[in-house]
Amino acid sequence: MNNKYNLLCFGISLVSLFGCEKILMKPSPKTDNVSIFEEYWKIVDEKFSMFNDPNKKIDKENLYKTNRALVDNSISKDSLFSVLGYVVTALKDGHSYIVNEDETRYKGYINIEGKNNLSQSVVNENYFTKASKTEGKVLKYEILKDINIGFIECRSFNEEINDDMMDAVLSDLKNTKGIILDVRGNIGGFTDSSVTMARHFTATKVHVGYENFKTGPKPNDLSRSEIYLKPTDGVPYLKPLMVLMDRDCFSATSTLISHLNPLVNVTFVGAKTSGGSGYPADGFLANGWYWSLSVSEFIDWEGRRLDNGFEPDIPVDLDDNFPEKDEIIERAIAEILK
Amino acid sequence: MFAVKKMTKFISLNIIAVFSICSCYSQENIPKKHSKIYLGIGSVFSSFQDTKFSNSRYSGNGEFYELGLENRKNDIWGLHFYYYNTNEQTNTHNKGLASINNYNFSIKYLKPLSSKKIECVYLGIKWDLIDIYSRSVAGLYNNSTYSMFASNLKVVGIYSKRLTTYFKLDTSVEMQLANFIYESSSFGFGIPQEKLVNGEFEYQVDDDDPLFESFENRLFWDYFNLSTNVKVHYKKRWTLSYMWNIQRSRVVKKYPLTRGYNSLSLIYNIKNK
Repeated sequence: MNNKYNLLCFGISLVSLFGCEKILMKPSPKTDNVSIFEEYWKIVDEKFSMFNDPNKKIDKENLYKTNRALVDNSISKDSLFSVLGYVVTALKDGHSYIVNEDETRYKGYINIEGKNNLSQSVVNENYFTKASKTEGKVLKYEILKDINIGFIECRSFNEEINDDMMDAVLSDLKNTKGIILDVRGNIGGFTDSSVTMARHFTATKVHVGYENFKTGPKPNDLSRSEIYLKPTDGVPYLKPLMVLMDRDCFSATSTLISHLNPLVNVTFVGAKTSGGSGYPADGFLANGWYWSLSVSEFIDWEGRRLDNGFEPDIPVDLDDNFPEKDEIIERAIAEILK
Repeated sequence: MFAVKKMTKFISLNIIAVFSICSCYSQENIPKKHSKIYLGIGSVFSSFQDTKFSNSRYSGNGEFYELGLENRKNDIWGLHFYYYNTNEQTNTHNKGLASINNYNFSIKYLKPLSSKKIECVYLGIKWDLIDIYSRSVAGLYNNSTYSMFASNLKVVGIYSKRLTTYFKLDTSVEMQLANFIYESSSFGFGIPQEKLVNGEFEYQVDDDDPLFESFENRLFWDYFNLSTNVKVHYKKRWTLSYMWNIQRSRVVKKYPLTRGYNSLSLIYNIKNK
């Protein structure tokens, strides 16, 4: 018996000594050109959620074959990076990009369509006075003189916007005829902030669409979560809301727009947005290059894929002949005063 | 950091060697009782691989702290808390330094299976009331954080033997039977896989949502968790402890997440009666 226990003790001790957890791990990846390409392609193939989007017109098989043929272990690192760049560019998705050690970046989508529809100096000079207030780091607001319309500017969701902030803003603006919410130039940030903002403009729970998440490596490993906008417990604002948008509206700002879209009191004024509806996942390749990819896709309650941008209800561009005016704000004012 | 691991193994080898030699000559009676409160400090070497995102292995070393109490009469019961912090890096590139924190508080109860003159075997259960693991990777955004909150039920066996007048050895093995766990990692990113598969993702999380909404029960074939521990006690006050733990979960088939650690700590028994 004694010997058996000794044996047991030794066995456990040996497991302790040699039982390195790495025994159960897969081998470390290689870092030669072909291995890096294959590693990246596997991630794209398994994780990217928008291959089914007919607007993107991605021929996956051809994308692989064409680019794989360009890679062997004799090409330079820069050439390899360019090949991965071709792959990510073909995805046509702003949340998909790859960055090398020099911080050089290839992005799936660069918005070059449309024109610049925001002049911050015109907004500052013509619509904000010394009476303007701020709430947090990204909310600036004011009641437009003589016409009793609230004006809220939000150029980023990269900072927290919480219910208390929105309550404070909307309490000050509660007696206005309507609100203009200017999110032009807002390329996104935290979706929590944009959804918190949106929930103050509805009194009821509203279905806004659904989100497809990649849940496994196969093309059809997609789950569907129905997305709702639920009203705030704080201060709501249910009078007309004009949302000003432009080509730079992206990511969390697309989330704001998609959540406000079903509401009857909301009108969108300005230019088409850039999309960026998918949730990005990120990581490092074995050689340290950073990758980001959309692993979900939002489809709105009317079946539109918001990754391709969102068209305004009232399309308006700034008129270059009158650089001192903001025609988009003026049109929104006119709509409220109708 | 690999030097630390080698050192850890070297010392462990010595522990076993001491045990092996002493066990051949020892004939002392094992004390039937003790009640101790202890405090330990040491070093730890941890490893990590999440194949959902990369086969790159991360590893690194850090500090290990533990404290607890143990009452050993006929049965054994005890409380144990440990905390470790490590910084892990992969050996294929120098990006993405990961900071790891693990807190664990457990209780255990064991009964003797066999009690001989100089050795005892115990079998019982251990319950990790709280096991919190967090991992934060520099340079990432949405996938920067992996976290796990769990409560684990384990079966534990201890083999205890007096080696000489001054040395005593405890060797133990723990195997998890089931746990109640929240694991943030899904196939895509930091939302529990179960929540996505069930179509339960939502942007607005209500304050009145159930506290453990995203927790799930997993049995040992869904979540493998094994620990071994070798302790060499010197007189009443000092103990040298080596612990190895491995955990392996799989929220997506063929894409396991594996992590583990080796710790070596010096324990001081504040009270030992």
